[in-house]
Amino acid sequence: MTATTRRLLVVLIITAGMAAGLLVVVLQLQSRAVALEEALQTIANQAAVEREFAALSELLERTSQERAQITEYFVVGQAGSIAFLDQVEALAAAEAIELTNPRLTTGESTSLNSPVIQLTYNFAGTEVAVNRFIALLEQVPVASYLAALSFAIQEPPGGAPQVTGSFTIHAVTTNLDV
Amino acid sequence: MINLIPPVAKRAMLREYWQRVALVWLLCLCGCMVLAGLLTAPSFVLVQSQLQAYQSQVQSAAAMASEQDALAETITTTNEQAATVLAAGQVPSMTAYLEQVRALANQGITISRIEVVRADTSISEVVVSGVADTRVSLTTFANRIESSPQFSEASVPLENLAANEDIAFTLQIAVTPAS
Repeated sequence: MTATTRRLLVVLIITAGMAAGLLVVVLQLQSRAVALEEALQTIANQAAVEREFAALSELLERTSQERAQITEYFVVGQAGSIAFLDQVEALAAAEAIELTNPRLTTGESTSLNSPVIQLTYNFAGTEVAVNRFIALLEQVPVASYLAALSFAIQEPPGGAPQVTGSFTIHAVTTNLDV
Repeated sequence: MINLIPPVAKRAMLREYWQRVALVWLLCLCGCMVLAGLLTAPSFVLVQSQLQAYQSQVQSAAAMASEQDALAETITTTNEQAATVLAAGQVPSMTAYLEQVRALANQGITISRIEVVRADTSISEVVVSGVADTRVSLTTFANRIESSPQFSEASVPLENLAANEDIAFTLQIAVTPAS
């Protein structure tokens, strides 16, 4: 190997190294330039973001009562389910309706696009009381609806008509795991 | 004189010549790269320093954007909840149908059983069982139901009409879909 060949090899290696180094520098510069561009864009948008943030904060503060009120229409978690059961049972007791065999399951309402608790009871009482109870049950201040209702009416001789049957009520729920 | 050089030496000289040419070009290339590197350095330093200068502003903007996303999420959730409450409020009440069936029960009809069938949130059918004093009172009841705007059809099974009096019947009443 001549001295020129050796020099050529050395220069070749140095050139390759320098090319690689330059490539790294260029790529780094490019990525930093992109980051800088994004940063400048973010800063440029900050005024608009601040205005929107202030508007959203103000809106949320202004509607906090309404939002809290909306939440009250939902059965929240297991505690809410128990409270709803208590509410239905209290309503029945107030109308002298006997509720038996409670069954509680969960499901999904496709129309309301929400999870629901499905509460089924057997009931018995006078016809007048049952009518009142069913009407009241449909007016419970909870996002709920009677999903199934069937009852039989019997008229004992000389007594008020007695009604026995069962109903299922669906109530929209959130955070069942709580 | 070059023709006097032996072919082997001539080839060696040629190789030496081209090696030196390549060496010169490579050295030129190296020089260019050094120059390019030197020219890149100010841009690199400028970009880097600007990035560092804007870092705190960018961080605060990002934090605000993240908080804004959380606020927007709260509003979206509230809107969905409001829509659900509204939809639940529009679910037809069973009481109205029960009252209507009772109101339409004419003289001679004794209702002993009512079942209201709901398909998801809309009421699809009301099944009424009972006893009719006569065929006429049963058909009158069915006709009254069919003429009600809330119901579309009340079919009396033919076998229910076999007896002439004290007819045990089961009416399947189709509900008019809510518009």
